[in-house]
Amino acid sequence: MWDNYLLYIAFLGQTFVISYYFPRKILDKINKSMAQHPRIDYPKLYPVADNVINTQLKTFKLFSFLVVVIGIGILAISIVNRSEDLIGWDDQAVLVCFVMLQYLPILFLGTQGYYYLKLMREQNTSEHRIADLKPRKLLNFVSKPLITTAIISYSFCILTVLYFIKYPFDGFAGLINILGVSGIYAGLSVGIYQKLYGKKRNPLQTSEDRSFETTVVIKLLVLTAICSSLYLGISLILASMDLRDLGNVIYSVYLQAFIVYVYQVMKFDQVDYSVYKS
Amino acid sequence: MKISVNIENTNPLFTQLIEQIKKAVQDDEIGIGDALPSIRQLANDLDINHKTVAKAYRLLERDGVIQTKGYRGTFIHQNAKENSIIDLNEWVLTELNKTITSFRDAGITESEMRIAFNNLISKRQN
Repeated sequence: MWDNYLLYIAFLGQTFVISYYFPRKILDKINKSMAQHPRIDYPKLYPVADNVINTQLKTFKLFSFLVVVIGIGILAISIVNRSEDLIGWDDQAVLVCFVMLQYLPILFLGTQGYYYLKLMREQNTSEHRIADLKPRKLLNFVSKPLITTAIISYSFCILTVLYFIKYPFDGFAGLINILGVSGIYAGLSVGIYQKLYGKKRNPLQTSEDRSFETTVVIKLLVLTAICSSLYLGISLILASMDLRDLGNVIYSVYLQAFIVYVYQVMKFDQVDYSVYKS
Repeated sequence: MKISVNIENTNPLFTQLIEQIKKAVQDDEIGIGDALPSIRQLANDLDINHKTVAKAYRLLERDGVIQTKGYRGTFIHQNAKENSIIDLNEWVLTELNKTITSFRDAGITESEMRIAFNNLISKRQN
């Protein structure tokens, strides 16, 4: 029963951190940034009307609030029914589905940001375009030890899967685990490549700001790769020891720690806003 | 070192790139052996066609200002400083002017010159 309580606490933490703490902090940062850089002084920062921005932010807030309600609902049903698993279903399945749900508001905000930058590009009338005459290399943005860790954690995951192929346990999915983690690594590599050599999304961004943003995004992508392969390896080991529930708790704590880290590295106050002046 | 292009300028974009890279070499803003961004990176950063940057790099390589080392990338040529002063377009104009003058002196008409020139170019392309 203790592991159930542990999972409930982790689930509550996950609901709070990803769908309450993070959205609230993001909204605070956006509102603070808008208050410090008003439309009248920084017209290029606002390609759309204020009411459009406010509606989008309200939708994000509402969306996140609904997810919190669903999370608390799941927890309440599980506690009231004293079920072995969350809402009487499979713990891992509930956790994965709920995480997807939790990321939907963040995805919504990301999509709005994408269109926002697209409008900025369309409204940019400057005839001059500037670029750095210096090649961008992966190691300019992320340290060698971090890359090495990503490779080691991937190898650890592959070796763990190969070991369990030889000595399988009940419910082991086999080679599909390698396919899954390799798919994640491939997807993240494409993301890193795009960030390094892809099109400049914000036409007004200074090269210093772009470099800072690239560093943050690439670090996060490499960390995601490390976390995903480590998690898979650890969860396989725990599953073989019949400690699946502990694996779910670790998964939940992982996600929370990741989101807190993401928030820590997002620094809007260091952005050079002078480029958005008229 | 930054590079900029003016998309409304009558000077073609590839020429703007060539001139600025040559000037940067002459002013020691970029040194011998320094790496240049890839075609894709520079084209995406400037939001211009990849072919434009590729053309600029190709002409800079022809002029001996840069050199491409396979997958390792593009670098400033060791004789870049001397080579960046030479203007091959100017040299072509001077040589052609001399040739046309001598043809005219021999009584060759302009249309005959054009036909001969086009024939020669087509022959070389084939």
